[in-house]
Amino acid sequence: MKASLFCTARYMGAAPHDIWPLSGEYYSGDAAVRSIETTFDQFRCADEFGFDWVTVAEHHYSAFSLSPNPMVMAGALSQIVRRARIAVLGPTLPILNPVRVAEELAMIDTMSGGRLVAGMMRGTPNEYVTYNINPAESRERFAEALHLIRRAWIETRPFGWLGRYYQYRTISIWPRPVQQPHPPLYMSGSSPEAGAFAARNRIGIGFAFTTVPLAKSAMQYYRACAREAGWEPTPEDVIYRALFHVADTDEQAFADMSTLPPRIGLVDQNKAVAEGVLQSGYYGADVVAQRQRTSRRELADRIALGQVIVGGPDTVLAQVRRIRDELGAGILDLVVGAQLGERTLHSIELFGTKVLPRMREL
Amino acid sequence: MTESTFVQRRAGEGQRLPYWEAGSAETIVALVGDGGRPTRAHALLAERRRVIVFALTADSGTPQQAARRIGAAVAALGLARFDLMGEGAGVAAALWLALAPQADIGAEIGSVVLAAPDGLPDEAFRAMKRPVLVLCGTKDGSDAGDRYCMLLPDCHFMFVYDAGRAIGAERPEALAFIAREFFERRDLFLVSRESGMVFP
Repeated sequence: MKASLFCTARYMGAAPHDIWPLSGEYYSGDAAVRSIETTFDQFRCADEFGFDWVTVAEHHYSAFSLSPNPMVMAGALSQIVRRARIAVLGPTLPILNPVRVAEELAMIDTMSGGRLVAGMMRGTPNEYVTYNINPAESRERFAEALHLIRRAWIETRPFGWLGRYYQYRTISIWPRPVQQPHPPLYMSGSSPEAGAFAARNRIGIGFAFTTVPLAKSAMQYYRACAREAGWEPTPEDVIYRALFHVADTDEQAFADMSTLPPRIGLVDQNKAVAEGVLQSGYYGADVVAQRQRTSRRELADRIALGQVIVGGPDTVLAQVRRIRDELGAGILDLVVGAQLGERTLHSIELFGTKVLPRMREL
Repeated sequence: MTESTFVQRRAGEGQRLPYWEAGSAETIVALVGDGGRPTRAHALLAERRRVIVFALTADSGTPQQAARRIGAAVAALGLARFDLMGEGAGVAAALWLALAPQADIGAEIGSVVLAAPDGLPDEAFRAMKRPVLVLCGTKDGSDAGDRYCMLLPDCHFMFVYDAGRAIGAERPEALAFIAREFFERRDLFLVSRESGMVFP
């Protein structure tokens, strides 16, 4: 089993964390620079202590993340993180120009010497407001963009594209990916529609900010669809993302995490956006489960449901083992649970030295 | 304009060669395979152009023979100039027609659009002097489009997303739009003329 560190580049200045979009009135350039430096320190630490990947993602207009363009962050990491793979999980595909995404990911793969992991995401629903894209078209845009990006990476001669949502008269990207035929691909697998699409197209899946029971059900569906498509996913095809914090003892870890405020999903921070997205049909057939993923929960419930991994090294290993056993996930994407300065760096070190070596044998 | 707008007529030697026709203004001649009929894409093209559809059948002989017969029919129609489409099994015949001496068909051929080619292209197609646009569906498992493009000296290649071999039926708006662009502007079709303005 492998581990990735996901640092969202959370803004460390004084700002509310339950408003979307967040006003620039709260913004301090100094605090933002400090936030990015802290993020880089944490990624360096993960690289040093043996994490297999580092993860970046795309979020807009929020103190939750100072990474509206994960390509920029990944480009910087390609020069800072010397060993670990750089997982861009991912660009919010339906709101972006897919040729640009193909080009930028190929650049990152080249700049990192072939260490890119490419996650293609639909993003959190609020992101559709950011670039004024209709969320009702999200899945179709996603599917077409993904096919186009694959073509752009694989085709060696210039070609045009006549899509339903995208049209290009000629495409011939430079640089091209170092990894051939293209970097490993992942997408979210939380909904039945996504699981079926990923299985049909032989794409790995990831579960983010969900619960182990919900992910388990989605995983069973993905496996069934993959079998129908004539292949069997391996643990390497499955990423599970959870918040984490490790301390020397369980008591210390729980005390550290007790300061963590309940998580409110970005889309739920704005009632109009939440309602508009819901009405658009964005969540698909399984709307109830999709909305449950991001429900507000207390820390104890989040631990029980596998949304948060917390404790001393032995406790954390037991929680990891449960995720592995129940889901068959081969990659754990660990989100920095709380920004606690040196204690966060110590948490990364403890995971890398005391948990990860034993996790590899699971 | 719909597919049913097309009227069936006959031309050629002894008026034996059937074809369908609709629309007015400059002419597009389309060669379709497998006894096909006008599609929604032809109907969309016929909204602004005169469209004449010839269907190849099992009796049409080789693509070269079919092209000869259709060339004679076109000559009988007295066209001065036309753009040319070949679709599916009509692709090879369209290229043979495009290579025919102007004197044989009595008309100048503008540019050529080929949709869903199949089979191996004939080496003779290297002599093609006109710009060609080759379209292949992303669900079309054939690599014939690639082989045609490697052979044709002035060729543009486009994928039609979510289409198989029947592009004219599966993505008619896309096929009609790009064919019209290519017929009107040839190589300049690479540069978009569509406005990106949201509100004036």
